[in-house]
Amino acid sequence: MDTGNFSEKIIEFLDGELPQTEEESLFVALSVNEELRNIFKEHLAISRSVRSDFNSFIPPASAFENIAKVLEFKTIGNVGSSSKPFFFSKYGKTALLMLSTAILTFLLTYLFFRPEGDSYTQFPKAIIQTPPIVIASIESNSLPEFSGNSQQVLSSKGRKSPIKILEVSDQRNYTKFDQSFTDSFENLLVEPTEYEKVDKVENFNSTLTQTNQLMNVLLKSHYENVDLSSRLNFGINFRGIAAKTFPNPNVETSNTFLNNISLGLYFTQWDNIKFGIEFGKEVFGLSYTNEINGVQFAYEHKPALLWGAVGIDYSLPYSFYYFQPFVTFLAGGTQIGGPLIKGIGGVRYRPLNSNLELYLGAEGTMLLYQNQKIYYLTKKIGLTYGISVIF
Amino acid sequence: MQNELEKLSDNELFKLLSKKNRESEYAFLEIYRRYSGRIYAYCKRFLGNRDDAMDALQDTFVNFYQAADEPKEMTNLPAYLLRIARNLCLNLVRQNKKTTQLEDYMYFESKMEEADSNELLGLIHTALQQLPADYREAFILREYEGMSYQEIADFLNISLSLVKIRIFRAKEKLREILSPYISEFSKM
Repeated sequence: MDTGNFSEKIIEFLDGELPQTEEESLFVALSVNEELRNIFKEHLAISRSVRSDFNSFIPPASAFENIAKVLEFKTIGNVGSSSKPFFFSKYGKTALLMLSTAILTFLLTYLFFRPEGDSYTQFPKAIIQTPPIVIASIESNSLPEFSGNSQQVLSSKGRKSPIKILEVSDQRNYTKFDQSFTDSFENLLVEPTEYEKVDKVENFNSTLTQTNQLMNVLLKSHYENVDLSSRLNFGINFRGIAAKTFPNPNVETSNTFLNNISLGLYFTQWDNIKFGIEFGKEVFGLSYTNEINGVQFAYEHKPALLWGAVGIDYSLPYSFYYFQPFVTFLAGGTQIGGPLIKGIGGVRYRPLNSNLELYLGAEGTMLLYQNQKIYYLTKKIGLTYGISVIF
Repeated sequence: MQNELEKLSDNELFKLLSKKNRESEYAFLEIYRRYSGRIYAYCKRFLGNRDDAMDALQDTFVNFYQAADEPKEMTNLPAYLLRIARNLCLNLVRQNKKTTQLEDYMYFESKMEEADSNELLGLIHTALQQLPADYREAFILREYEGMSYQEIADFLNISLSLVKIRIFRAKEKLREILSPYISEFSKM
């Protein structure tokens, strides 16, 4: 028997190259020749050993970095630093931005919306201050203008506009309230007949002062009698988010259904402070690396993530023509982890006695997530807009 | 972006390379991810030591990227990469005139010490370097690249019968060298 010829057939057979027509003769030879069987076993052992040599297929981790360096790549290469990013260098800029926004919002609202004068008359819960009530418009030039300190009266949570109170007639023998005043207070609180007539010029100041004082008393009386527990305690808000994500990979969003929205439920705890929960779905740009067999690979996604958060909302105690500034902070998580932190600053618009509230604001978001024990940060900044239904 | 590129064919990725922008860098990364293992294994078996293999691997991909300056059709990307790698390896062999160095021998020895189950593999690594370059190359293309005889013939631009001869002689030579050890291992 030609062992060399069959040895060649054995190799071709193990390589899958032996024609089927020749297999039978090989098997017959193997069945009768022990030497051939040993040759077969040895070739099989070598082939199996070589094909199990998976380590040969793993290039050193530094190879790609060297290549990227030579080719002067700008976006990939040296992407796999295993050291965790230093917290402040990574997040300090964002935190500073959010803090600056908060301070700026506060300063703007303080400077432009704060009431004039020093005196506030504090009333119980659920009653907040309006801008100062301006006093009278007097048709006759012969009457002196009111020179005392303007007082502040309180209105309902509706945060109403300034109220024009008083007019003095030509005859100066009676006082009536302007229609705008009665409209503002639902025609419930004050009737002209409740006030003294102004019959002398010198009595005008004292009458106005008394009127203001009386009105405060009446308002207090009115709102103390209102069942506050039955109104304005919670609201549902629905808002849209138009924000840019950083990083912002140049890829399509994986899921485009109902993105960049949120739904919240808030309970009013104190006059200007609400607590609540919010759920939303938003697009976040993600950029991270994976180490596979010692090689670092960069990945970028732009998924729409579901998120949930608890929030606190603070309405600044100033309003201007139905507009009231607010700030909201949210903290929670997403499908891929967290924490997720949001800061919102803006203004609300709520017409008198309306149960609807519109709002517009700036929103900043930070999402911290982890992959292969390394933390990554995605930031978003943009606008938010929405509507609340107050119950 | 990397997820999107994973879905692209070799030809589509190759066409992106000529842009020489961010997208082409990611396309290059994806090609590297797909074929660097095979190219590295080829170079390592061909050259017999890790340092030269890594140099060849890096030069292969650098040359490949620099040469991709227009979006032409690419029908067989791995073969194209292998051809670049082969030329580089042949140049290195000519320069060095030796492929098995003492340090490589020490490396194989140390690898053998690391895992008993890989002792035969370590011996194969060493024995492979004893083969003539032509035989070794045919063996590597068959065993590590998984090429068929005809693919090897096309790649090396030689006849099918010559491929069979080279593979047969390579494997027979290896078997002769390793035969005493294989019988030892089979007793363990």
